[in-house]
Amino acid sequence: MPVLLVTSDNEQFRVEKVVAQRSVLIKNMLEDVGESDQPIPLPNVTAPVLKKVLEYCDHHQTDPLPTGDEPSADESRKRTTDISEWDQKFITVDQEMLFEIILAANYLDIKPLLDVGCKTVANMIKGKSPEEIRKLFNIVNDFTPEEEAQIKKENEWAEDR
Amino acid sequence: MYRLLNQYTPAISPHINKLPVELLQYIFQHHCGFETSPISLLLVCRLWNAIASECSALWGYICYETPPEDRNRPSSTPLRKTQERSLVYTSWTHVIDAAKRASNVPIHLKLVIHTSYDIFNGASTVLLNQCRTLNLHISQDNEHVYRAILASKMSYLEHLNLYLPGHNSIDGLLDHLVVSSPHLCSLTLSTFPHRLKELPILLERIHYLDLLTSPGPNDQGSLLSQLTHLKYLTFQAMFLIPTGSLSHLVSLTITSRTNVIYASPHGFNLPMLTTLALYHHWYCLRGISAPNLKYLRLFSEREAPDTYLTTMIKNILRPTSLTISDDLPVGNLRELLRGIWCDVHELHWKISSHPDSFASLHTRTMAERINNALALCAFLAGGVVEKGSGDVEEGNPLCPQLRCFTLHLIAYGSPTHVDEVAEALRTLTEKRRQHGMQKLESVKCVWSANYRPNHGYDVIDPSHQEWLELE
Repeated sequence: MPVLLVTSDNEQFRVEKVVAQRSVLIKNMLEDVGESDQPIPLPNVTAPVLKKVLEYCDHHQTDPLPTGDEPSADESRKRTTDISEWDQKFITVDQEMLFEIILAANYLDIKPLLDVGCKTVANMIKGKSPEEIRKLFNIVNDFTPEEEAQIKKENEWAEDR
Repeated sequence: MYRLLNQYTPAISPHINKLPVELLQYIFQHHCGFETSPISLLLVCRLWNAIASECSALWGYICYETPPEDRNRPSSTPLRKTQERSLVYTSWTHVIDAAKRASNVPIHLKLVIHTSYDIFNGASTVLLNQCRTLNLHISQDNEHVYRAILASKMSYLEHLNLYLPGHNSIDGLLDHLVVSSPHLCSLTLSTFPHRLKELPILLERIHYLDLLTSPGPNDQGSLLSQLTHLKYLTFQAMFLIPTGSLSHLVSLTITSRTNVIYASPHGFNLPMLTTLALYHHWYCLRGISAPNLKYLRLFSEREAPDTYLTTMIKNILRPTSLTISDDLPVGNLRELLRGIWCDVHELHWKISSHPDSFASLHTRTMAERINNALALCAFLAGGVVEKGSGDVEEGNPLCPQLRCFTLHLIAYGSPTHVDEVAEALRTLTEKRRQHGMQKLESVKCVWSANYRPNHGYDVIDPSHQEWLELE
């Protein structure tokens, strides 16, 4: 039975229940209300973002759901070989959409998607200097010269000499 | 920290700093590891400084390396950065400080000890008892160091990775680990643990085992038959795989380079296996039954390639993701993709040239390999099918479920064939579209010129930016 989802910008998405239930939030809502054709409001997600999220859920609809007894985070990191090919392709979006997807995955409680998004950002940061990170994400250096000097001093044991 | 977050207004804040603090923390946690440094995060902006300082997990990866030469000389560089900006401490005092900064999070400690170096004191004992992961790379003349470490109390240890040169035995220490490390479930060992098979309590706990050495098949076989809870197994040397065990195994990697792998004469069933990787001797696929296999990775075979087809066609492995490197003749691959592997969703092919004497076992030149790549592209595009009479006609593209196809060309020299291969891939995409096949969501190729003769299968995967998108 399809489920009707309504975004913050009032767009409606009719999706298969098995796809919608990749979201733990929606799954719990459906279990709470029982069989119903009432639309489910998603006030924190816009239509373009939900469209992307549903694309992910559709592709992964047959994956086993997280059970909570997976290996610890560090264990997973050690065992898994980065992000899968399809997921890499899926998450190749502009930064605004990337962070919107992360926010939506967090709100909708879709942990595998949240992990894909966060791993992608972590990979972007990896190996970069503070200046390169600022440039990448358009972050303003809001330290005063004194503050920056103080932080460097506190961590001077970590500086190249 | 929240005060700092509130200083940003959505209109001027960069997208990343619109994330709530807990999500930035979560990203930072994905960032941490032995190969990364948290120092850069501290110096980005006030918000990141506040979050990174409070994110204890970032400081829980500690790599300590003794000065390689004069052991009595005080280190003037307590910490150095590698090219990947990872942190390597060369002062034990700073290791202890870092452990304090990590406060109550699990510690992942890597010790590389070249020289006789006395690191033990009361603080070291506390640190070892905080460890969840312990990697020991210890030189041959420092047996007393690893013996002292392994005899310490490590109540939270889960992952123990021992890289000990020579044939030093760890057997006498395993009994102690059984008692002192009740959570130990992951072992990487460069020394074969004869005593392990006599420790059923430990055997029941082991989920991950990476054996870098072995004295012979019988010892390994009897060990393996007792590891009934094993989920991840990697081994490098000869193994006699027994029937009826390994029912929980989800990942099997065989990196044997020189020894023969003997499967049980009746074959063996791996009902939970999803990932199988073979670096040599693909013929040990014979007899493996793995109904849930998703990922099959085949690398660096050096045996006579004509034997592959019959061997592989006999088994019933039906992966959805297939990674192949080197010498599988394209004709044989075509037959497999037409047959038991026709449902494959992802196909990755690594093609290498071998310009040195090591390559005497490899008879194909890069040009021949490129021709094979072009032929495979043609088959996937529904290209020519040679019939018994020699007639040629258009056929249906292979692998109707294929969504992702990548070619990784690895060689010395300039990338002279990339344009040719790229064009073949574009044609492949277009032809499949014309045939109404499943849309190829990813078609990519890349050229790496960093082939290392003795580690041909170990070429580092290119970064995302290096791949040439061809859709």
